Amino acid sequence: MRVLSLVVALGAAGCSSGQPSRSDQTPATQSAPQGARVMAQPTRKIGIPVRAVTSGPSPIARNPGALTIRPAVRDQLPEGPQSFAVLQDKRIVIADPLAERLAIYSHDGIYQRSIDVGMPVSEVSVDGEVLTIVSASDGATQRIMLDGRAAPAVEPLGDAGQPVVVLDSDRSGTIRWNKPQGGPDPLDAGLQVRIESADQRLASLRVVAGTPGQNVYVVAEAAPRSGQRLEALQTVVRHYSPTGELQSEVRDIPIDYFIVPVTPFRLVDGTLYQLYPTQDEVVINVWKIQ
Amino acid sequence: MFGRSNKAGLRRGAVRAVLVLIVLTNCFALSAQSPTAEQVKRADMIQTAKAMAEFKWVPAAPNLKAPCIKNYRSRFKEGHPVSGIAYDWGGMDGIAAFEKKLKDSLAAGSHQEEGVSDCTAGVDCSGFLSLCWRQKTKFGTATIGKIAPTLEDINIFTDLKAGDALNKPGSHIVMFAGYNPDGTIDVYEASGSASRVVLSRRNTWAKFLGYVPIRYGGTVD
Repeated sequence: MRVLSLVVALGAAGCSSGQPSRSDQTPATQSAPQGARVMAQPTRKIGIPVRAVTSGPSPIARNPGALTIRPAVRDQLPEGPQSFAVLQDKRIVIADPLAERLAIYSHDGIYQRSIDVGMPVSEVSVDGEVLTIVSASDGATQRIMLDGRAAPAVEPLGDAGQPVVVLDSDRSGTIRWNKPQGGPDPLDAGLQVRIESADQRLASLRVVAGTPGQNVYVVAEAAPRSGQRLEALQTVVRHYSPTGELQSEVRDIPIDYFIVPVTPFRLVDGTLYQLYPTQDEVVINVWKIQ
Repeated sequence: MFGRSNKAGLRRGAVRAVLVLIVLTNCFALSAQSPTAEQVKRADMIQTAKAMAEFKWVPAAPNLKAPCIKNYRSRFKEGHPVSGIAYDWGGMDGIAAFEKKLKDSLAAGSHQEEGVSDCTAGVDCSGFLSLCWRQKTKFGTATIGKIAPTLEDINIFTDLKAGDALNKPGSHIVMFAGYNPDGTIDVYEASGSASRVVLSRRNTWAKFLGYVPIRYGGTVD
């Protein structure tokens, strides 16, 4: 088992939009992972305009490039884009549930076209040229081609090859992968992710992308050990090489979402993308990791 | 002018009046602190939540129209099966009430911009918790603290129990269902974006910034 360290630095740079500054939170333990590149600021940001509606689903208006949001009201959360996918050519597909469409943008955020899907979509993912969308209203799944035509249905993959993540203690977690049918047993090839700071606990750990033998990207949430200050939560993304060496860490990721994404992160060709909806625009934060 | 016996009588009357006043004041105070005290087992809370999230129904044409709401637009499709009681802002319909209203051709669900109406059926986030906690009246996220105080000193990452809730006053409330091995949590909620009651799995903690843990005062482990 490879033991890898995850050092969560409580940096001075805070999240946007009114979050308390990190300097007045738990004591800072400023240390970089050994030999790892640390990234804080995104390599670039893409800002996509939004239009606010006060009623339910509505067709896109004069500016089809604007995504649709509905502000929060008493006892009802705001609604709007919660999922996105990144194509191999780096175009970005964003689910626009209140307009019942998928909006497609160039890699630098220029609106290109839409795919009308006739239902609010809560989740979108891509595999090659095929998009899989999940209906927000009834959970039904559809597969469609990029040109909007229905794609053939496929058998569900099941758990083979899927990562299994377990928090072993309040400061560490282990990632293993289910054994693929007939393949080598990867269960011995676990990755341990550990919080170095004694003041912190590992709150959650998930795999963003990767499998054994490839680059692996994980997202970790860390919080004060007492577990009484959720507002001090931090999120970092770590990149490990195919041989398990820590390569880089992305920290100071903003998590004060106006609309909480179902799929906040995507990883394509060594580039991390984050869907970060704000009250004024939908931001795609981009970190070129590799 | 007043005889000795009259003064004594007045004194006794005044004392009685003060005693009655004290008793009445305490009664009102007690009722304000604990308007309901029904004991509810955690297992029953979860069972209610699960049943509402798994309730299967099929929208018929009348359930997609709300004659009492201008510009109503249903989130559902005729004939497409749905799992979960519809989200209805201001609503507090349990399964039996929801089923009956659908059969009576009421619309399935609504959102805040459509207002509280009498021609729609379903439940909103705080109505959902009110039902799971066996309340006779509906609480909002801003008032549910009256029956479910904040858990001030717990470790939110380890000490929540099924049936507890995470509440963001004025915004949203969910019922905690359990911790996952990877540290994420499962919650039951009446979700506006999902338009129904759902079991939302594997949520990261970033989803709950601004929420506080609360526990219904009549919870029985």
